[in-house]
Amino acid sequence: MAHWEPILDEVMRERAPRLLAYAAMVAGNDAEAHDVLQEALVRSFSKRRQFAHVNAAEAYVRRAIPSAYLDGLRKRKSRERSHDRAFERDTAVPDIDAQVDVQRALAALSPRERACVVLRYYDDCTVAQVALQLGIADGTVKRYLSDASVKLAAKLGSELGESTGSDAVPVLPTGKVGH
Amino acid sequence: MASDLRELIHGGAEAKRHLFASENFAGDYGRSVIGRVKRRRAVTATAMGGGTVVAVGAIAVGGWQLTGAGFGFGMPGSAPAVVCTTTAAAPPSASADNAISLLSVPSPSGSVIWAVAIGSEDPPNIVANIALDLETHEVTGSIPDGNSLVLTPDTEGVYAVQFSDGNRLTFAVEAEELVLKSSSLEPTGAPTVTCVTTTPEPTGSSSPTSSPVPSPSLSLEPSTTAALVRSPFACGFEFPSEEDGDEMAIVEVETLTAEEAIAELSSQWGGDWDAIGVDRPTGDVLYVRAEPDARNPEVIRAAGFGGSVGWRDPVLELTGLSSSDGRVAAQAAAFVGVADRRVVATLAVSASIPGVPYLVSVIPDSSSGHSPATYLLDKQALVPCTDGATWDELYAVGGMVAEEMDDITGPYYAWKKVD
Repeated sequence: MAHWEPILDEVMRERAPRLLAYAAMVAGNDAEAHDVLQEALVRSFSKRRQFAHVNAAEAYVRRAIPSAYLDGLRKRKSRERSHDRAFERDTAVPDIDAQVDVQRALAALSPRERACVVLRYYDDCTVAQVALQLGIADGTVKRYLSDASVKLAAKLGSELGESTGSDAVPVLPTGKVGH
Repeated sequence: MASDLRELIHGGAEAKRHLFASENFAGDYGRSVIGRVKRRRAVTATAMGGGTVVAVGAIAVGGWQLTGAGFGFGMPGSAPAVVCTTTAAAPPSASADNAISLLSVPSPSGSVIWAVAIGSEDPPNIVANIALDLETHEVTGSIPDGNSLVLTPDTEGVYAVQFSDGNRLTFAVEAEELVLKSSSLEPTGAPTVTCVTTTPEPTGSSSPTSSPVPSPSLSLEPSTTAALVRSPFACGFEFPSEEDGDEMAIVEVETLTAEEAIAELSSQWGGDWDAIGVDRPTGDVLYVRAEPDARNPEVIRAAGFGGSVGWRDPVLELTGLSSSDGRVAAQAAAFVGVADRRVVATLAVSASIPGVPYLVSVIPDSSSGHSPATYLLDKQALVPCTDGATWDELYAVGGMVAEEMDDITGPYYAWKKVD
């Protein structure tokens, strides 16, 4: 067995739930998370790199998930179908109302907006780090975050504050959305 | 619901983690992921080594030669790059050995293809392709003349391919990987295999399949085989329509007189026909140009990677290409002979027409969008897939495939019946 196989196997056996959850947040639905994680795993292990520990491998795969998702968008012709299925599945899962709401709100964002929001607010990346990871400009990230904040506020109907980081982008309260 | 977005997202992710904890990702997808990683590692290694790998259906074995290969697309200020393809057979390399190598190659979606090569020649001496359909798990063996057979394993899961010259190859498919079991193949300078048969494993051989069970009961199943041949460049492909394409289109098909063809081609070479290096045509010449779908910017971008243009299935060329930035593309345009909508003759090189140049592939200058064009100077150059096969229709076919690091775009194909 090649040296990378035990690490990959361990990542899939022990870290998959966490990585799938992350992929689901980035992709905006659960159904696509499996495809995204598979692609991220393949990308991460296909090169000649070596991982000394499963933690390092998991971190690398995690970083590969946003780009694997965004790169794969154009190739997934059945995205709308899987999106619909995901909603069906989500609604069947008992969950906290607020979390369901935010997941639905995230799902309503554009793919790049969602990736920026997840990286910014879940991974606590700075705008510069988000830009670097997604290969886009800082200003573009800020625009995505700003647009996302408007949409999220409209969906969630509440004031959502951003408290940390000088480059933070506040989520606007519903009342400020021009409807 | 006054809550911080960060907390909500973290809470949502935690809920999803619990949800996914009940799944068995490793069990459901582990083998597939590991298989894909292995294949990509194999492809990367092959490409780095600069070898040429073939795949899918009709393949040339040690009998083709490309002059001027290895150029990039749209070289600024340069004359049109022209690939002249001849049928001159390559002699066996003095350094050839008997080593068998399995080359994993980019495959159409839903399948995995390995090329079986013998010796250490460059380009590799490919003697067979083995294709695995990931959905049906059907295994197909293809040989250079384009014949394909659905293979059936024996009770121990071992497949056998018996060549007409007596050589034999046995292998197994484990976790979507091909594992070679035994081989008696030796390198030769010309294609020697003409068919795949289904003889049972001989009792008492060194092969792991020495049991006397009625092993590989293989049979030619045209309908099933055709479903597995996904390239219109390959023998056995069945055209579902007279014209179609996936991210590709046949944009021009013309029949030119010999004089028109000579004038057109000469003009692209400064008026000097001799510079092309092929004989002047004496009869009508067929011209085809295929083009990536201009509405798909990603395909257009990928098609612009440096690479090769020719007449063979682009997948055959791809892994033989390499570049410093990891981006390569292969495009092709050609003609095939068709009977009952099935490909029965191709431009596969055959020893039966040694040394006769018969087609020219051209990359127009960059203003034309780099799309491949091929002039078939002699329609008689089409090679029957099986002895005695005849065709009453010609189809123009085109294709492209690109690789960016380890990300494959395509292969995409198009075809159009020649009126």
